[in-house]
Amino acid sequence: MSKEVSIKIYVKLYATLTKYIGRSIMHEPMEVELVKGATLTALYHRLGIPGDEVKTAFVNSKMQSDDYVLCDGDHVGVFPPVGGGCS
Amino acid sequence: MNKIVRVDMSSQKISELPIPAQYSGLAGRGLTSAIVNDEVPPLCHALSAQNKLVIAPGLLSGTIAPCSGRLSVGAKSPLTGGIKESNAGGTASQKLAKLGIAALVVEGQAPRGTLWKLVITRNKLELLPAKDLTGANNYKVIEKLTKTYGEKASYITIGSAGERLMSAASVAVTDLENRPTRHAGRGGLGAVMGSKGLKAIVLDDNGAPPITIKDQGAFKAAAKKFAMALKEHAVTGKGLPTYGTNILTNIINEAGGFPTRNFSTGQFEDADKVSGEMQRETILKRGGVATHPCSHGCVIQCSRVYMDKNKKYLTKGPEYETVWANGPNCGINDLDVIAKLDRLYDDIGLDTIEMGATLAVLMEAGYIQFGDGAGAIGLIKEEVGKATPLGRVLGSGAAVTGQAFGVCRVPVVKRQALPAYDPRSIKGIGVTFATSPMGADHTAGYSITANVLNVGGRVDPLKPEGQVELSRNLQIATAAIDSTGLCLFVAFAVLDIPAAFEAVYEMINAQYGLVLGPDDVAALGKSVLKCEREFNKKAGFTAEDDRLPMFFETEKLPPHNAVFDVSHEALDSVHNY
Repeated sequence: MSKEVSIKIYVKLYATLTKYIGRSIMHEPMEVELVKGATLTALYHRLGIPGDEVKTAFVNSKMQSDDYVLCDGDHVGVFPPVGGGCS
Repeated sequence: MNKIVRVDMSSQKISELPIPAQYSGLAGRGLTSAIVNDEVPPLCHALSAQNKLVIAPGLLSGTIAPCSGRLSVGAKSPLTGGIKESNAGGTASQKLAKLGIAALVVEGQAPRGTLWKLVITRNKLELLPAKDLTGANNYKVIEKLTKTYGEKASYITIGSAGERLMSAASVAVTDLENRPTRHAGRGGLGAVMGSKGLKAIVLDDNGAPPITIKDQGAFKAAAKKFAMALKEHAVTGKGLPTYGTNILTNIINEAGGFPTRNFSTGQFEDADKVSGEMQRETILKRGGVATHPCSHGCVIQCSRVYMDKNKKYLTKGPEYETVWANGPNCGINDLDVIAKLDRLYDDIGLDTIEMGATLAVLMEAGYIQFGDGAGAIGLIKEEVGKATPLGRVLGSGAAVTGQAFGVCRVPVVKRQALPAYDPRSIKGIGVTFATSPMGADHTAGYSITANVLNVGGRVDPLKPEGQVELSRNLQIATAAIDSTGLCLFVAFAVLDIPAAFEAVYEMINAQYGLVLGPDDVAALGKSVLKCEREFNKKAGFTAEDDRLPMFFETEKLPPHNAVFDVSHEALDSVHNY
């Protein structure tokens, strides 16, 4: 992809979603190149993550919906359903 | 459950009375708070003979209802000065219920210098001297008691912190492996138990008849429906069993609401090193247990067993709030350090949240540096564990420590430390922290659900709008759930799956022959909160106590550079219902 039409983003998958990149845990984000205008849905498609397994995604620490259009340099964190909160 | 057992520590007399009519339909938090409000003088000193320690199983405890093993412990809190209900898992709630005890009320005060244990079996209630347990910590106490009463009994105990009347002292409950790992941690109730001169409660339900269920068929059907919903929901059926509560570290960090180094920033650079994913890997690599129930009949199984580097048992898997308080909040990125602290807290009998927050305040003061794990362990073991003057300051919690060391940024509400979620970037939980009668308590109205986890709707965590209503509804629902004996984690399924909510009141109806509906559940929650707020008002609390420390309104929190901007007027409307 040429620089004009592609973007680079940094992605971290969490919990059970790491299986889609063949790992049990991700310590560092991975770089993903996508066409300009790509949405979170396109990112999930690229990584082979079924859309219904994604519950929450953050882009630069803000929660975004599947139709969010990614920008060059975005940091993305993707989660399956998680919960807890007791001690 | 048809009786209230009263233990007068002053005279060592025990009496059994039928439940008075006014408490009909109450159990768990509903009952502990009602008794405390009715019988404890609100202006009494929490460590005086006038206070009462009330211990109660929930409405469904002791039955086959899934996840119904929570135990409520109530009193006037020596930490907050207000009413307190703190609940714990473990095995005691179900045994108390099977022994027919709706509430255990410990009152008066034993003669100075004496220490007692209360032994309850099917046929006998005895208060016996426990001088041999003086100064012992929880693991040693359980070891000694087990020699006499066996592994099948349940034990409710205090460690040395409770005996020494520290305001961060917890009440420990044994788990299925007979370890003192489940604590009613918040609010210093261990100190109340210690002030009574009561070291341990032994519960042996051998030979006790099963709980009476009015309609067995309907009860079984509702319990099955409930279990299926818990299995079906992705959080209770998959997330929590796989990763435990510490699965939250990464998502709260991503959301920018992960208080780091005493609430000075909202993200921790080494969050992955202490995450639930990392904890799971560590546990499995060392031969621990990664999916484990803390009480009989739990289908969620978020508990775990944590081994040290030599693959020997160290402690239960530290919970998310424990990991946060003693890890990132102190700039510590080592799970083994956190696990060692967790073990010390369980043993000495301390609230893991209050103590982690206290360590962070002490680090802010520069007494030890952020990130100094060995220093933190040393302080808890050598100072708090030995009750040195410094240890007594720390064991009194974050507010006292902040005052003693002249720290301005002290994250407490009603003198109780804030847990694990920064209210500036997750504003719904800030509303709960500010307005719960308990002081800062995430479990009192867990707005993280709709703010971050996309459970039970969705409310933007960074905007003030919608937070009051969210927190109000959750505080009401929680007060009701805390009265049932059900683990609060069932709420994930109850909020999303209508059948799960139905099953809760269907189980109660089938057990007691009632005809409750959804409105009655909400009415119960409201009445519990009203009673708790009534006590606090009489104890001197005003609207101004329902506020966060001002630094949350003035200091911007990265990465969102957010402040807490829910108005005071809005906070004052939370309890309008």
